[in-house]
Amino acid sequence: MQTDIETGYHPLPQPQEIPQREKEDAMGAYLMMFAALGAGLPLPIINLIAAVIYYFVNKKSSRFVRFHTHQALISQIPTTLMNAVALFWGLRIYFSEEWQFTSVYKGYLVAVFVANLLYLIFGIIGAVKAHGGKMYYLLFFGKISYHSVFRVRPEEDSNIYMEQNLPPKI
Amino acid sequence: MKKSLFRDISILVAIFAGIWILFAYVPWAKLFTAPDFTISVANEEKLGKIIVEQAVLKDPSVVVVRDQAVDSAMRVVSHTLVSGIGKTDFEYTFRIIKGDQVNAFTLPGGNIFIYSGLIEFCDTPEQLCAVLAHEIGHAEKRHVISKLIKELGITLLFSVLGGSDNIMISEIGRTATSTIFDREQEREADDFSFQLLEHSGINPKALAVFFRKLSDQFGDYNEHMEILLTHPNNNSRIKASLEYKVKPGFAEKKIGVNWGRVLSSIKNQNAK
Repeated sequence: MQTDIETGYHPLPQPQEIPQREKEDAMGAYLMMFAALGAGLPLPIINLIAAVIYYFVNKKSSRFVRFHTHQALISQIPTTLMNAVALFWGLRIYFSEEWQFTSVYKGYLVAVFVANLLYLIFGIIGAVKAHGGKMYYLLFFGKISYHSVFRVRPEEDSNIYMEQNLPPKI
Repeated sequence: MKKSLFRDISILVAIFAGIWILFAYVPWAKLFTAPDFTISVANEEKLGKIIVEQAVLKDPSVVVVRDQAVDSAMRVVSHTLVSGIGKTDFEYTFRIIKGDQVNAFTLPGGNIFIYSGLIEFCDTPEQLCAVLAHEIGHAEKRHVISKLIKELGITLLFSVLGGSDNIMISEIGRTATSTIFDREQEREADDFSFQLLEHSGINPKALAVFFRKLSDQFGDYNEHMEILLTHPNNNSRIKASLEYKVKPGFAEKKIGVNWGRVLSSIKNQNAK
Protein backbone atom coordinates (compact mmCIF):
# COMPACT_ATOMS: atom_id res chain seq x y z
CA MET A 1 0.00 0.00 0.00
CA GLN A 2 1.19 3.49 -0.75
CA THR A 3 2.02 5.78 2.12
CA ASP A 4 0.83 9.29 2.88
CA ILE A 5 3.97 10.95 1.75
CA GLU A 6 3.95 9.47 -1.72
CA THR A 7 0.33 10.18 -2.62
CA GLY A 8 -0.46 13.19 -0.49
CA TYR A 9 -3.53 11.42 0.89
CA HIS A 10 -4.19 9.52 4.07
CA PRO A 11 -4.56 5.76 3.64
CA LEU A 12 -8.12 4.53 3.22
CA PRO A 13 -9.72 2.69 6.14
CA GLN A 14 -10.65 -0.89 5.30
CA PRO A 15 -14.08 -2.38 6.09
CA GLN A 16 -12.82 -4.73 8.76
CA GLU A 17 -11.03 -1.92 10.60
CA ILE A 18 -14.04 0.37 10.90
CA PRO A 19 -16.10 0.09 14.09
CA GLN A 20 -19.81 -0.63 13.74
CA ARG A 21 -20.68 2.73 15.29
CA GLU A 22 -18.85 4.62 12.54
CA LYS A 23 -20.48 2.59 9.80
CA GLU A 24 -23.88 3.52 11.19
CA ASP A 25 -22.95 7.19 11.46
CA ALA A 26 -21.80 7.21 7.85
CA MET A 27 -25.00 5.50 6.70
CA GLY A 28 -26.98 8.00 8.74
CA ALA A 29 -25.64 10.85 6.63
CA TYR A 30 -27.50 9.54 3.57
CA LEU A 31 -30.63 8.44 5.38
CA MET A 32 -30.76 11.77 7.16
CA MET A 33 -31.00 13.66 3.90
CA PHE A 34 -33.92 11.54 2.67
CA ALA A 35 -35.84 12.23 5.86
CA ALA A 36 -35.05 15.92 5.51
CA LEU A 37 -35.90 15.83 1.81
CA GLY A 38 -39.38 14.60 2.70
CA ALA A 39 -39.76 17.18 5.47
CA GLY A 40 -38.39 19.96 3.31
CA LEU A 41 -40.41 19.29 0.19
CA PRO A 42 -42.30 22.56 0.08
CA LEU A 43 -39.16 24.50 0.94
CA PRO A 44 -36.23 22.60 -0.55
CA ILE A 45 -33.71 24.38 1.65
CA ILE A 46 -34.50 22.39 4.81
CA ASN A 47 -32.64 19.25 3.76
CA LEU A 48 -29.57 21.33 3.02
CA ILE A 49 -29.66 22.82 6.51
CA ALA A 50 -30.05 19.35 8.01
CA ALA A 51 -27.07 18.09 6.01
CA VAL A 52 -24.90 21.00 7.13
CA ILE A 53 -25.79 20.35 10.77
CA TYR A 54 -25.06 16.65 10.39
CA TYR A 55 -21.77 17.47 8.77
CA PHE A 56 -20.65 19.73 11.60
CA VAL A 57 -21.83 17.32 14.29
CA ASN A 58 -19.61 14.65 12.75
CA LYS A 59 -16.74 17.00 12.05
CA LYS A 60 -14.56 15.36 14.66
CA SER A 61 -15.35 11.77 13.72
CA SER A 62 -13.06 9.53 11.76
CA ARG A 63 -12.21 10.26 8.13
CA PHE A 64 -14.53 7.49 6.97
CA VAL A 65 -17.57 9.12 8.57
CA ARG A 66 -16.49 12.57 7.50
CA PHE A 67 -16.08 11.43 3.91
CA HIS A 68 -19.62 10.11 3.73
CA THR A 69 -21.23 13.11 5.45
CA HIS A 70 -19.26 15.46 3.23
CA GLN A 71 -20.32 13.59 0.11
CA ALA A 72 -23.96 13.50 1.25
CA LEU A 73 -23.81 17.24 1.86
CA ILE A 74 -22.24 18.44 -1.36
CA SER A 75 -24.08 16.01 -3.62
CA GLN A 76 -27.42 17.46 -2.61
CA ILE A 77 -26.52 21.09 -3.30
CA PRO A 78 -27.29 20.90 -7.07
CA THR A 79 -30.57 19.03 -6.56
CA THR A 80 -31.61 21.47 -3.87
CA LEU A 81 -30.89 24.43 -6.13
CA MET A 82 -32.76 22.81 -9.00
CA ASN A 83 -35.76 22.10 -6.77
CA ALA A 84 -35.73 25.66 -5.52
CA VAL A 85 -35.63 27.00 -9.07
CA ALA A 86 -38.50 24.70 -10.06
CA LEU A 87 -40.51 25.88 -7.08
CA PHE A 88 -40.02 29.60 -7.64
CA TRP A 89 -40.46 29.28 -11.39
CA GLY A 90 -43.73 27.49 -10.71
CA LEU A 91 -44.87 30.18 -8.29
CA ARG A 92 -44.02 32.82 -10.85
CA ILE A 93 -46.17 31.05 -13.42
CA TYR A 94 -49.01 30.66 -10.96
CA PHE A 95 -49.11 34.26 -9.80
CA SER A 96 -47.94 36.20 -12.81
CA GLU A 97 -49.84 37.00 -15.95
CA GLU A 98 -46.75 37.25 -18.10
CA TRP A 99 -45.20 33.86 -17.28
CA GLN A 100 -46.73 30.86 -18.97
CA PHE A 101 -46.68 27.13 -18.31
CA THR A 102 -44.44 26.48 -21.28
CA SER A 103 -42.93 23.26 -22.57
CA VAL A 104 -39.53 24.59 -21.47
CA TYR A 105 -40.81 24.55 -17.89
CA LYS A 106 -42.35 21.12 -18.35
CA GLY A 107 -39.02 19.83 -19.66
CA TYR A 108 -37.27 21.38 -16.70
CA LEU A 109 -39.67 19.66 -14.32
CA VAL A 110 -38.95 16.30 -15.92
CA ALA A 111 -35.19 16.93 -15.70
CA VAL A 112 -35.52 17.91 -12.03
CA PHE A 113 -37.60 14.83 -11.36
CA VAL A 114 -34.96 12.61 -12.97
CA ALA A 115 -32.23 14.38 -10.99
CA ASN A 116 -34.08 13.75 -7.74
CA LEU A 117 -34.67 10.13 -8.68
CA LEU A 118 -31.00 9.54 -9.51
CA TYR A 119 -30.02 11.29 -6.31
CA LEU A 120 -32.36 9.03 -4.33
CA ILE A 121 -31.08 5.86 -5.98
CA PHE A 122 -27.41 6.72 -5.58
CA GLY A 123 -28.08 7.94 -2.04
CA ILE A 124 -29.52 4.54 -1.12
CA ILE A 125 -26.56 2.77 -2.71
CA GLY A 126 -24.28 5.10 -0.74
CA ALA A 127 -26.09 4.31 2.49
CA VAL A 128 -25.82 0.56 1.90
CA LYS A 129 -22.11 0.80 1.05
CA ALA A 130 -21.41 3.01 4.06
CA HIS A 131 -23.13 0.51 6.32
CA GLY A 132 -20.86 -2.16 4.88
CA GLY A 133 -17.86 -0.03 5.75
CA LYS A 134 -17.02 0.61 2.11
CA MET A 135 -16.05 3.77 0.35
CA TYR A 136 -18.44 4.86 -2.38
CA TYR A 137 -17.59 7.58 -4.83
CA LEU A 138 -20.36 9.43 -6.58
CA LEU A 139 -19.50 10.89 -9.94
CA PHE A 140 -17.74 14.24 -9.42
CA PHE A 141 -18.76 14.62 -5.76
CA GLY A 142 -16.86 11.51 -4.65
CA LYS A 143 -13.59 12.93 -5.86
CA ILE A 144 -14.12 16.29 -4.22
CA SER A 145 -15.07 14.67 -0.91
CA TYR A 146 -12.09 12.31 -1.06
CA HIS A 147 -9.81 15.21 -1.80
CA SER A 148 -11.09 17.43 0.97
CA VAL A 149 -11.26 14.72 3.65
CA PHE A 150 -8.28 12.48 2.95
CA ARG A 151 -5.72 15.02 1.78
CA VAL A 152 -2.83 15.33 4.20
CA ARG A 153 -2.95 18.70 5.95
CA PRO A 154 -0.32 18.81 8.64
CA GLU A 155 -1.59 21.97 10.32
CA GLU A 156 -5.19 20.77 10.68
CA ASP A 157 -4.30 17.29 11.70
CA SER A 158 -2.24 18.53 14.57
CA ASN A 159 -5.12 20.73 15.71
CA ILE A 160 -7.83 18.15 15.56
CA TYR A 161 -6.16 14.96 16.51
CA MET A 162 -3.43 16.03 18.82
CA GLU A 163 -4.95 18.47 21.19
CA GLN A 164 -2.14 19.73 23.28
CA ASN A 165 -2.01 21.46 26.58
CA LEU A 166 0.24 24.43 26.30
CA PRO A 167 1.78 26.57 29.04
CA PRO A 168 0.45 30.14 29.35
CA LYS A 169 2.03 32.77 27.18
CA ILE A 170 4.25 34.80 29.39
CA MET B 1 -7.39 15.52 -10.64
CA LYS B 2 -8.73 18.79 -12.03
CA LYS B 3 -9.10 17.29 -15.47
CA SER B 4 -11.14 14.34 -14.26
CA LEU B 5 -13.28 16.61 -12.10
CA PHE B 6 -14.01 18.75 -15.11
CA ARG B 7 -14.94 15.67 -17.11
CA ASP B 8 -17.29 14.46 -14.35
CA ILE B 9 -19.12 17.77 -14.01
CA SER B 10 -19.48 17.98 -17.78
CA ILE B 11 -21.10 14.55 -17.79
CA LEU B 12 -23.58 15.59 -15.09
CA VAL B 13 -24.45 18.90 -16.74
CA ALA B 14 -24.80 17.19 -20.12
CA ILE B 15 -27.20 14.60 -18.68
CA PHE B 16 -29.33 17.30 -17.07
CA ALA B 17 -29.34 19.57 -20.12
CA GLY B 18 -30.04 16.60 -22.38
CA ILE B 19 -33.10 15.54 -20.41
CA TRP B 20 -34.33 19.12 -20.25
CA ILE B 21 -34.02 19.68 -23.98
CA LEU B 22 -35.41 16.24 -24.76
CA PHE B 23 -38.59 16.91 -22.83
CA ALA B 24 -38.92 20.59 -23.66
CA TYR B 25 -38.67 20.37 -27.42
CA VAL B 26 -39.75 16.89 -28.43
CA PRO B 27 -43.53 16.76 -28.86
CA TRP B 28 -44.02 13.59 -26.80
CA ALA B 29 -47.71 14.17 -26.39
CA LYS B 30 -48.19 14.04 -30.14
CA LEU B 31 -45.96 11.01 -30.58
CA PHE B 32 -47.55 8.79 -27.98
CA THR B 33 -51.20 9.71 -27.54
CA ALA B 34 -53.76 7.30 -28.83
CA PRO B 35 -56.02 8.73 -31.53
CA ASP B 36 -58.54 11.06 -29.94
CA PHE B 37 -62.07 9.91 -29.44
CA THR B 38 -63.98 12.57 -31.23
CA ILE B 39 -67.47 13.19 -32.41
CA SER B 40 -67.90 14.00 -36.07
CA VAL B 41 -69.26 17.36 -37.16
CA ALA B 42 -72.52 15.77 -38.29
CA ASN B 43 -72.98 14.12 -34.91
CA GLU B 44 -72.08 17.32 -33.13
CA GLU B 45 -74.78 19.16 -35.05
CA LYS B 46 -77.27 16.44 -34.23
CA LEU B 47 -76.29 16.56 -30.56
CA GLY B 48 -76.55 20.36 -30.57
CA LYS B 49 -80.02 20.14 -32.06
CA ILE B 50 -81.12 17.67 -29.40
CA ILE B 51 -79.71 19.79 -26.58
CA VAL B 52 -81.19 23.02 -27.89
CA GLU B 53 -84.61 21.67 -28.72
CA GLN B 54 -85.15 19.24 -25.89
CA ALA B 55 -83.28 20.87 -23.05
CA VAL B 56 -82.59 24.57 -23.44
CA LEU B 57 -85.70 25.77 -25.26
CA LYS B 58 -87.94 23.60 -23.07
CA ASP B 59 -86.55 25.21 -19.96
CA PRO B 60 -89.28 27.62 -18.75
CA SER B 61 -86.66 30.12 -17.56
CA VAL B 62 -85.30 30.49 -21.09
CA VAL B 63 -87.30 33.07 -23.04
CA VAL B 64 -86.22 33.71 -26.61
CA VAL B 65 -86.49 37.37 -27.55
CA ARG B 66 -88.48 37.98 -30.72
CA ASP B 67 -88.37 41.50 -31.97
CA GLN B 68 -88.24 42.71 -35.52
CA ALA B 69 -85.63 45.41 -35.00
CA VAL B 70 -83.35 43.12 -33.02
CA ASP B 71 -83.78 40.20 -35.40
CA SER B 72 -82.95 42.22 -38.49
CA ALA B 73 -79.90 43.71 -36.75
CA MET B 74 -78.79 40.22 -35.73
CA ARG B 75 -79.14 39.03 -39.32
CA VAL B 76 -76.74 41.76 -40.46
CA VAL B 77 -74.30 41.04 -37.62
CA SER B 78 -74.32 37.28 -38.10
CA HIS B 79 -74.04 37.58 -41.86
CA THR B 80 -71.00 39.85 -41.46
CA LEU B 81 -69.30 37.35 -39.15
CA VAL B 82 -70.24 34.10 -40.87
CA SER B 83 -69.13 35.35 -44.25
CA GLY B 84 -65.82 36.27 -42.61
CA ILE B 85 -65.17 32.73 -41.41
CA GLY B 86 -64.78 31.40 -44.92
CA LYS B 87 -64.95 27.62 -45.01
CA THR B 88 -66.84 26.25 -42.06
CA ASP B 89 -68.54 22.99 -41.13
CA PHE B 90 -71.23 24.51 -39.00
CA GLU B 91 -74.40 26.37 -39.69
CA TYR B 92 -74.42 29.06 -37.08
CA THR B 93 -77.61 29.92 -35.30
CA PHE B 94 -77.74 32.95 -33.02
CA ARG B 95 -80.52 33.20 -30.48
CA ILE B 96 -81.15 36.01 -28.06
CA ILE B 97 -82.57 35.07 -24.70
CA LYS B 98 -83.89 37.24 -21.93
CA GLY B 99 -81.59 37.83 -19.00
CA ASP B 100 -79.54 40.67 -17.66
CA GLN B 101 -76.27 38.73 -17.53
CA VAL B 102 -73.57 40.23 -19.74
CA ASN B 103 -72.88 36.86 -21.26
CA ALA B 104 -73.13 34.55 -24.21
CA PHE B 105 -72.59 30.82 -24.52
CA THR B 106 -71.99 28.32 -27.24
CA LEU B 107 -73.62 24.92 -27.49
CA PRO B 108 -72.48 22.11 -29.79
CA GLY B 109 -73.19 22.46 -33.50
CA GLY B 110 -72.72 26.22 -33.75
CA ASN B 111 -75.65 27.19 -31.57
CA ILE B 112 -74.82 30.49 -29.92
CA PHE B 113 -77.00 32.01 -27.24
CA ILE B 114 -76.78 35.68 -26.35
CA TYR B 115 -78.30 37.19 -23.25
CA SER B 116 -80.19 40.41 -23.91
CA GLY B 117 -78.05 41.93 -21.13
CA LEU B 118 -75.02 41.53 -23.35
CA ILE B 119 -76.60 43.42 -26.22
CA GLU B 120 -77.68 46.15 -23.86
CA PHE B 121 -74.13 46.35 -22.54
CA CYS B 122 -72.50 46.80 -25.96
CA ASP B 123 -72.13 50.39 -27.12
CA THR B 124 -71.66 49.47 -30.76
CA PRO B 125 -72.55 46.51 -32.97
CA GLU B 126 -68.79 46.00 -33.39
CA GLN B 127 -68.42 45.13 -29.72
CA LEU B 128 -71.18 42.56 -30.00
CA CYS B 129 -69.43 41.16 -33.08
CA ALA B 130 -66.20 40.84 -31.10
CA VAL B 131 -67.88 38.79 -28.39
CA LEU B 132 -69.69 36.64 -30.95
CA ALA B 133 -66.45 36.13 -32.86
CA HIS B 134 -64.94 34.82 -29.63
CA GLU B 135 -67.85 32.41 -29.19
CA ILE B 136 -67.57 31.31 -32.82
CA GLY B 137 -63.91 30.63 -32.03
CA HIS B 138 -64.96 28.18 -29.30
CA ALA B 139 -67.24 26.42 -31.79
CA GLU B 140 -64.75 26.37 -34.69
CA LYS B 141 -61.93 25.07 -32.48
CA ARG B 142 -64.42 22.52 -31.15
CA HIS B 143 -63.85 23.46 -27.53
CA VAL B 144 -67.47 22.91 -26.60
CA ILE B 145 -67.69 19.33 -27.74
CA SER B 146 -64.27 18.40 -26.40
CA LYS B 147 -65.19 19.82 -22.99
CA LEU B 148 -68.40 17.82 -23.02
CA ILE B 149 -66.49 14.66 -23.93
CA LYS B 150 -64.07 15.37 -21.10
CA GLU B 151 -66.75 16.02 -18.53
CA LEU B 152 -69.40 13.48 -19.46
CA GLY B 153 -67.60 10.84 -21.48
CA ILE B 154 -68.13 9.93 -25.09
CA THR B 155 -70.40 6.96 -24.33
CA LEU B 156 -73.00 9.16 -22.69
CA LEU B 157 -72.99 11.58 -25.62
CA PHE B 158 -73.45 8.75 -28.10
CA SER B 159 -76.29 7.28 -26.05
CA VAL B 160 -78.06 10.63 -26.35
CA LEU B 161 -77.57 10.57 -30.12
CA GLY B 162 -79.20 7.19 -30.25
CA GLY B 163 -82.25 8.45 -28.37
CA SER B 164 -82.30 8.86 -24.66
CA ASP B 165 -84.48 9.97 -21.78
CA ASN B 166 -85.19 13.61 -21.09
CA ILE B 167 -83.46 13.67 -17.74
CA MET B 168 -80.18 12.75 -19.30
CA ILE B 169 -80.62 15.30 -22.09
CA SER B 170 -81.41 18.09 -19.65
CA GLU B 171 -78.41 17.03 -17.58
CA ILE B 172 -76.20 17.36 -20.64
CA GLY B 173 -77.83 20.68 -21.42
CA ARG B 174 -76.99 21.91 -17.95
CA THR B 175 -73.38 20.81 -18.32
CA ALA B 176 -73.10 22.36 -21.77
CA THR B 177 -74.42 25.74 -20.68
CA SER B 178 -72.23 25.89 -17.59
CA THR B 179 -69.03 24.81 -19.28
CA ILE B 180 -65.97 26.81 -18.36
CA PHE B 181 -63.08 26.77 -20.77
CA ASP B 182 -59.50 26.69 -19.67
CA ARG B 183 -57.00 29.45 -20.21
CA GLU B 184 -55.45 27.90 -23.29
CA GLN B 185 -58.85 27.54 -24.97
CA GLU B 186 -59.81 31.10 -24.13
CA ARG B 187 -56.60 32.30 -25.72
CA GLU B 188 -57.23 30.18 -28.80
CA ALA B 189 -60.75 31.59 -29.12
CA ASP B 190 -59.37 35.11 -28.67
CA ASP B 191 -56.80 34.57 -31.40
CA PHE B 192 -59.46 33.16 -33.68
CA SER B 193 -61.74 36.11 -32.99
CA PHE B 194 -59.02 38.63 -33.93
CA GLN B 195 -58.57 36.97 -37.30
CA LEU B 196 -62.28 36.60 -37.88
CA LEU B 197 -62.91 40.24 -37.00
CA GLU B 198 -60.17 41.31 -39.38
CA HIS B 199 -61.63 39.20 -42.20
CA SER B 200 -65.07 40.62 -41.49
CA GLY B 201 -63.77 44.18 -41.74
CA ILE B 202 -64.12 44.92 -38.03
CA ASN B 203 -61.27 46.32 -35.97
CA PRO B 204 -60.08 43.61 -33.53
CA LYS B 205 -59.58 46.31 -30.91
CA ALA B 206 -63.34 46.13 -30.39
CA LEU B 207 -62.73 43.12 -28.14
CA ALA B 208 -60.33 45.18 -26.00
CA VAL B 209 -62.90 47.95 -25.74
CA PHE B 210 -65.49 45.44 -24.62
CA PHE B 211 -63.18 43.81 -22.05
CA ARG B 212 -62.13 47.20 -20.72
CA LYS B 213 -65.73 48.25 -20.23
CA LEU B 214 -66.50 44.93 -18.55
CA SER B 215 -63.56 45.36 -16.16
CA ASP B 216 -64.47 48.94 -15.38
CA GLN B 217 -68.03 48.09 -14.68
CA PHE B 218 -67.73 44.86 -12.74
CA GLY B 219 -64.16 44.62 -11.50
CA ASP B 220 -61.77 41.92 -12.56
CA TYR B 221 -63.90 38.94 -11.75
CA ASN B 222 -67.59 38.66 -11.65
CA GLU B 223 -70.29 36.05 -12.12
CA HIS B 224 -71.58 37.91 -15.18
CA MET B 225 -68.40 37.17 -17.05
CA GLU B 226 -67.90 33.53 -16.19
CA ILE B 227 -67.90 32.32 -19.76
CA LEU B 228 -65.93 35.15 -21.27
CA LEU B 229 -63.37 35.65 -18.58
CA THR B 230 -62.53 32.53 -16.70
CA HIS B 231 -59.10 33.58 -15.58
CA PRO B 232 -57.66 36.62 -13.94
CA ASN B 233 -55.52 37.45 -16.92
CA ASN B 234 -57.99 39.95 -18.23
CA ASN B 235 -55.30 42.55 -18.77
CA SER B 236 -53.16 40.33 -20.95
CA ARG B 237 -56.18 39.60 -23.12
CA ILE B 238 -56.85 43.30 -23.53
CA LYS B 239 -53.20 43.71 -24.38
CA ALA B 240 -53.32 40.90 -26.95
CA SER B 241 -56.31 42.50 -28.61
CA LEU B 242 -54.66 45.89 -28.75
CA GLU B 243 -51.41 44.45 -30.04
CA TYR B 244 -52.97 42.38 -32.80
CA LYS B 245 -51.52 43.61 -36.07
CA VAL B 246 -54.00 43.88 -38.92
CA LYS B 247 -52.66 43.26 -42.42
CA PRO B 248 -51.74 46.35 -44.42
CA GLY B 249 -54.65 47.52 -46.48
CA PHE B 250 -57.17 46.58 -43.81
CA ALA B 251 -60.26 48.67 -44.31
CA GLU B 252 -62.72 49.00 -41.49
CA LYS B 253 -66.32 48.60 -42.55
CA LYS B 254 -69.21 50.10 -40.69
CA ILE B 255 -71.94 47.67 -39.80
CA GLY B 256 -75.15 49.05 -41.22
CA VAL B 257 -77.33 48.74 -38.17
CA ASN B 258 -79.31 51.34 -36.31
CA TRP B 259 -77.89 50.36 -32.94
CA GLY B 260 -79.86 52.94 -30.98
CA ARG B 261 -83.06 51.37 -32.17
CA VAL B 262 -81.83 47.88 -31.26
CA LEU B 263 -80.96 49.07 -27.76
CA SER B 264 -84.35 50.65 -27.18
CA SER B 265 -86.10 47.52 -28.48
CA ILE B 266 -84.05 45.33 -26.19
CA LYS B 267 -84.87 47.60 -23.25
CA ASN B 268 -88.54 47.33 -24.11
CA GLN B 269 -88.27 43.56 -24.28
CA ASN B 270 -86.50 43.40 -20.94
CA ALA B 271 -89.11 45.59 -19.35
CA LYS B 272 -91.88 43.23 -20.46
